[in-house]
Amino acid sequence: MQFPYFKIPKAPCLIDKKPFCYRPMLNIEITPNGKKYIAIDALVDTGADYNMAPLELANAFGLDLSVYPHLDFFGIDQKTAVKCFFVPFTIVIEEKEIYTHIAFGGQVPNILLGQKGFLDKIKEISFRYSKYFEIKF
Amino acid sequence: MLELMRSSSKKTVDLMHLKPEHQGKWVVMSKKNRKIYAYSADPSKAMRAAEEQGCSDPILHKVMPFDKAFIS
Repeated sequence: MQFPYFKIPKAPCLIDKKPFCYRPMLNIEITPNGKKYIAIDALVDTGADYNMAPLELANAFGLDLSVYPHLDFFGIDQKTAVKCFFVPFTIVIEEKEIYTHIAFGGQVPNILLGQKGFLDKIKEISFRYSKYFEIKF
Repeated sequence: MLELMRSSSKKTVDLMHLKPEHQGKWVVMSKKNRKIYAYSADPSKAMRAAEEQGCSDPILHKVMPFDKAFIS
C-alpha cells in the first residue's frame, strides 16, 4: 500500500533554500480501548525505538498514566531523560489494525511510529523520498 | 495489481497553508480537504472547537516548528 509524503512549511536555510520539507506521515486512527478513536497524522520515524506521543494526547483520552509502566528516553543531547509511559493502543491504518503500545511523554514533539510497536509489526517499508512510501502489511 | 488498486492516493498531502501561529499547536483539519478548523495547545479543545464549527471528518495534526529541523 502506497502513501504520499506530506509537504510542510519550514524556514529556508543555507543548505536548503526551499520553504518546505517532506515528511513521511500517515493518517491513522488510535484508540486505547476500542471506544474513543482519534484520527491523527503520525510521523514514520525509523530512528525512534518505540511509538511515542506527546503527553497532552494522553490527556485527550483521559488516561491516568501513573498506572502504566515507564521508561526513560533520551534524545540528541544524550543527557536529558524524559519519562514516558507505555499504554496499550490500537492503531488503525487503512482498515489494518495494529495492536501495540504508545509511549507518552513530555517534550515528545509529535506522534511517532517507531521500530518497536510499528515497524516490527509490518512486513516491509520502502521510501521514494518526497513522492511516496510503501508499506507491506 | 490488487495491491496497487487499494493504494492510497500518491498525491502529496500539501500543508503549506499552515501558518506561523500554528507552530507547536494541535491543528484540526478536515481529513478530506485539509481545511483548518481550529488549533490549540490542547488537542481536546481544538477538537471541540472544530466540531462546533461543523468539521465532520476531523484529523489532528501536531505542527512542529518551521525554523528547526527534526531529529528523533
